[in-house]
Amino acid sequence: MDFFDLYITELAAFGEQFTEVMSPLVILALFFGTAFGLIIGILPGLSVTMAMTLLLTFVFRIPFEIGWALLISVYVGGIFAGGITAIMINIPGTPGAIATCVDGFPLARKGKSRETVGLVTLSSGTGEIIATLVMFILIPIAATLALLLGDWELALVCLIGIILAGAIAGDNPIKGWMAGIMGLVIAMVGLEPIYAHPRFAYVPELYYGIDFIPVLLGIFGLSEVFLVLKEKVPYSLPGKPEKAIFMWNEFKRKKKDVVRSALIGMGVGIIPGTGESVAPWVSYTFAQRSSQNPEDFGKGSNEGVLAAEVANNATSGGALIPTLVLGIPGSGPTAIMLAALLIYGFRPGPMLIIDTPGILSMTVVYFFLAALFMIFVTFLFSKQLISVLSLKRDLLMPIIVVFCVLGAWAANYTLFDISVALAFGVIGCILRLRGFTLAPLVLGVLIGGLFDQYLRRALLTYDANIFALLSRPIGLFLIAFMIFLLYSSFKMKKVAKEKEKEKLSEEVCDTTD
Amino acid sequence: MSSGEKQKTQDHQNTSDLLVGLLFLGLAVFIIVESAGMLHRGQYLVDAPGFIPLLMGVSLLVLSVIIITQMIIKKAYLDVAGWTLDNLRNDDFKRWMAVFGITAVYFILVGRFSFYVLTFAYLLAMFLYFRSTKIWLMLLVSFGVSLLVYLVFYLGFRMPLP
Repeated sequence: MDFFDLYITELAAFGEQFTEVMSPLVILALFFGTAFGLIIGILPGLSVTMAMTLLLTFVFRIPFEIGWALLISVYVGGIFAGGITAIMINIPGTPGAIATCVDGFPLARKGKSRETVGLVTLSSGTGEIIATLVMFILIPIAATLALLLGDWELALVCLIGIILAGAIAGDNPIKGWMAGIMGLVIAMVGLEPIYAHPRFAYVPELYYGIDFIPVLLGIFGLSEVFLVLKEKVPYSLPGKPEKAIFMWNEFKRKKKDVVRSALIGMGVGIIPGTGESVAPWVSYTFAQRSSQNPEDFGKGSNEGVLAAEVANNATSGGALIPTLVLGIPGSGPTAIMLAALLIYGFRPGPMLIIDTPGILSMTVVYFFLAALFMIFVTFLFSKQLISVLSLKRDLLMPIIVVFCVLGAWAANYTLFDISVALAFGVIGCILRLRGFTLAPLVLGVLIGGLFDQYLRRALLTYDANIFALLSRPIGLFLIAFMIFLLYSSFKMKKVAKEKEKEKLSEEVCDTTD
Repeated sequence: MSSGEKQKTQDHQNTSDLLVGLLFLGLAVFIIVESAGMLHRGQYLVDAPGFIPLLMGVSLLVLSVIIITQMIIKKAYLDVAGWTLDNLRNDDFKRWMAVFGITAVYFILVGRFSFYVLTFAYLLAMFLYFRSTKIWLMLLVSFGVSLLVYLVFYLGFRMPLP
């Protein structure tokens, strides 16, 4: 089957499932999911990954279409809302919104927060839609190519994910790799797939392995609660919350910038574990280079905010490509989406869109509608959304703990899973305090089982002859590709770091003045 | 922040990295020892259930040795006593310990007492610790969340609660 056939099958299947996929309940789920994502993204201390993890533990009780729509809309709303906090209080709601602070907050201090939020909403929504459409075009091509991969190549792809996520997502690659290896080992607990030999199974519950839901709840939920409640960071809104102003004409003038930033975000987002934090900086740098007023960047430039925010939103389209085609999540939220697919009984990988025609179109349409709802909700309720920022986090965080307990319990109805969540909450907290990034750890937990299976099967097929494996052309290409990606990603990271340093030094200058 | 304070913070960070490196070293040794015991199964060594965990353990060992060596070069071991004392005096650390302590008690007691009562008590204890708001509001929120759990999860989702 070539990729052209895939498009035809995909669209035909979507047409057949249209009434089911676009039922009123799904539309409602998309609307409320986007609003929920926006609130979560704005709420101090809550992350979109945490919200999606909590949601994940309950969505499997509802039909796939509604659950999938909810997760996608929370993702879209949450990622965008991180930019609002960056503009309003100089605190990035998501790692991808750090670049938005550079120009967003100075604009808010100049009294232009309403216009900035409006412009960014329109551009981010459009960027999201562009990236999702490009994703629709690329996924069948990527899936057709991925079918050429054997066990050895798939094991290499898993390894590429861990190495890249470790190298790029944090400050120190060694720490990232350590976290990734830890994740892989966690995934290997329990009866192994070939001989059913128990590995690290010291209590009967461990024979089934460690369920990823309590691990995710501990790492993204509890560790975040512990870290947020550890310190009280005071912040205040620069003014009274007011409704955003949508400047349509200004938006029309920025069409080219939006398309460029969306494509950059989408392209960088494909790299597993890195896109979200790196893409906005790359896009920001490109915008500054091509701007007619580069001197305004860092002091409150609309173009700077727009470039960072559009790329931030567009990463979701890019991150979905490795998630759906290879089963390797491109970011924290896509890791949760991967977990959701597994819970619903799908097997992410090149066969996903062949075995389940219609799923790709459904995903694209949900992203599209979520982006429209995001613009609509912000247009109507921006004042109310911004006032959410004044909610007390020490009142909110303990409630999150209760939902984490319920989520961990709901995974298998065992008290053991609740203890696992607490243990990983502490581990996650300690690792984050020491600058370990958790993306590779989560990636390791999710793909560790597959990596083990692929690698051992490949070694068995080739009678443990590693040289025979190394001579496979696609494997060789993947190894070369891994080296190239490492190099280019390190380079992008350097650019991002330099920008961050510049921002810090400017802040110091401002304080001194 | 003065340069002395900056240096102190850097020293403390190095000490923390050294300690975390040692923790990972311990974990790596444990993985290696355990997976070495699984190597007797299978036709080839690479086929044994313990082969991939062994590879992971060795990789973790190498990486943690690199971190430890980096920190030893920076003489992080000299600051262990200061790091411990400063952490014990640190308000953030005390708050962290309190939050963790209350939460751990809640997790341990889940399944042994009524979930609603326990949740109410946990939330109230946390709100009281942080003096989050007025007492009547703390009581109201704690009660409201417990009620919400009952209505949504027990009645709505028909989910058995711990």
